[in-house]
Amino acid sequence: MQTNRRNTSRSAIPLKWYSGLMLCSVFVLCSFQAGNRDNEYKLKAAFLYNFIQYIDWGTVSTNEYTICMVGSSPIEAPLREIAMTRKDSDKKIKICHYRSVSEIGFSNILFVSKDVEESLDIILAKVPKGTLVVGEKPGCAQDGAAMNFVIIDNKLKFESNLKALSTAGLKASSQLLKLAIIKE
Amino acid sequence: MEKFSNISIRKKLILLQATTAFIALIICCSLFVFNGIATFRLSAQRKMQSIARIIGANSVSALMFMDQDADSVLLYKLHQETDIIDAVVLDKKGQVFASFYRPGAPRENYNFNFPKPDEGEMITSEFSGDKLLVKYKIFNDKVFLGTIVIRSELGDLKLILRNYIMVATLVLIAGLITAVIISLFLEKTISKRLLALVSKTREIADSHNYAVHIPAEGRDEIAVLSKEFNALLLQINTMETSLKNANAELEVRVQQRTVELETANKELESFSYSVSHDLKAPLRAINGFTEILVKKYADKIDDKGKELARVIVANGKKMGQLIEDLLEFSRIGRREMVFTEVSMDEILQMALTDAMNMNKTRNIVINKEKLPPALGDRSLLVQVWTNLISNAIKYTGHKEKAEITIGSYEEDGRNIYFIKDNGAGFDMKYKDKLFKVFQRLHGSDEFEGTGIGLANVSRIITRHGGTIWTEAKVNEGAAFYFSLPVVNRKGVPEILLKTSVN
Repeated sequence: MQTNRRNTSRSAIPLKWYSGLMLCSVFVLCSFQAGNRDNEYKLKAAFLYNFIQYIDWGTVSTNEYTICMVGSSPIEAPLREIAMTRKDSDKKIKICHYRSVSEIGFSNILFVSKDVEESLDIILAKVPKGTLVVGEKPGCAQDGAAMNFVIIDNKLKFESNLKALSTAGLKASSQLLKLAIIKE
Repeated sequence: MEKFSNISIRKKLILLQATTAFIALIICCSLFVFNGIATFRLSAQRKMQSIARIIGANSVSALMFMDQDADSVLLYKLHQETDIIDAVVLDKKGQVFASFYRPGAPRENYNFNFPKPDEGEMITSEFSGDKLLVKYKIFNDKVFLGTIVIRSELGDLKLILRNYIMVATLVLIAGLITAVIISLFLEKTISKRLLALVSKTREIADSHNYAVHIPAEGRDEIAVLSKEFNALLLQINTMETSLKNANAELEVRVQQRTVELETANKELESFSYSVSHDLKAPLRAINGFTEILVKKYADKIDDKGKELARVIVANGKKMGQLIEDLLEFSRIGRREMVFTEVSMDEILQMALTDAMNMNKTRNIVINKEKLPPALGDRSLLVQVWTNLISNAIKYTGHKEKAEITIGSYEEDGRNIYFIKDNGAGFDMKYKDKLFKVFQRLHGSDEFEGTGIGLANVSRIITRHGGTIWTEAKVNEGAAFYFSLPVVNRKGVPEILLKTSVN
């Protein structure tokens, strides 16, 4: 199986392949060592972007999605990179950053950094309906986040709380759920 | 092997039918099998392409979320498709992302030759032997994610091929049987009629019965042939009938003529017999009275008168002999013949002894061979020999030494008897006169006789169904030949058998 490999030809590839290549590079790094934060957050950013495709947003279809973060997180840089490369695609993304929980407003995806000190309940109380809340702390899914990144066997996986999903008025595609670790 | 042209039409038709059916069926079955194989390959290809598409579509999320385990689980579901040997999902760079290998199947490290994302078809199929390799490029939102490669074996193809060949063989057999049945049916409408025509022709040729009608139904060539044949038969029959009628008419006429002739002949014979008989009485009177005249009036008649009276008596006797001979000739013609096997040796010896006794003063040498027996009327045959021998002795009278040779030989189923002498002979230009009544080639002053002997012989031989002929030269002798039928085992002369049949 794959071990550490470096992507060396990024700049030579047309932009439209960028995301794919990025996935590849992420894939190469999928068995990253814990603590390799850059790679971890690149992967998490890609996953966040991929979630857009597999969630039935229920609202009128749009081609611009907002991904917001609470608290500072290394995910911002790779996310902005994706936003840059995908600005001509069907699914454009807009990145925003809430400095504090009180700022939280509507966004399609709300990424809750593990550095956020407030409890998830407080955050969830502020989140309007229709927002996919994604955490990265163990137990987040059980606590009510619709999605939660976990690292199992050095691989990035995600948990999904179906109840939280439906509470948010969202539906996840079966293709997504088959990959998710379902938490009640 | 028999030449094709010599085989009967019936066999030809059956052969033709069977061959045609066989060729047509072979072609059909081949096309059927080839089409079946092509269809099977196409459907196998379609099936594998569909599977590749479905697996590809289902692998999108796994590829996107790097979930190799989920994709492996997905690929493992292919184990229920027994014809799939292995399936591999390659990532964008061509590295194995997830794979399924059928347990127990030999693993082959083959080069996937993985396609470039922006080149070639989305989906490709390659057949190599009984293996099918399908490659499908996985895209999501125009982004190339990887390739799925499915390798399957067309193991069912062999089974299907075997089934096809079995079905084709059955169809072939059924077709041939049908062809034979059709030919048997055709036989009824073609060969049977033709053969009937042939056998009828043969029958007619053998039996000469032309009053036959051949059934000629329909309007095909055979019917035309039969009709023409019938017309021909009718013509022949008409001709034969008219010929028969003409023959019968002729026969009747011949019989009429024969009866008339026989009647005339009988009348003539009885006339000559009665004339001869009636002539004898006055002749006896003339002779008797002339003798009385000479005896009673001897003193009154001078020597000249006596001489004349003697001439009268001599001529009267000669006339009497002529009349006797004529009566004998007539008798020979009318007498009923009694056929028995006659020993020619015996009757010849009898005739010779009589003749030698009458000519004791002559120097006669007889050479004779043993003669075969003949079938005939014994007394008539005795007359033949007596006449011929006395003839020979008579015409050798001027020779110092008479040589007579008697013998026989067989020719063309007949016995030919002959008698040769070294006598006066005769000129062959008169040979036709020889056997006629009172026809003589020599004057009676030279050789005495009435000229009735050979006529009698000829008549007897003719009545026996034989012929008589002669060879002679003046002063070098004469030879007489006569033929009689050979005696066959039944004792009936073959020539008479033939004449009686006719």
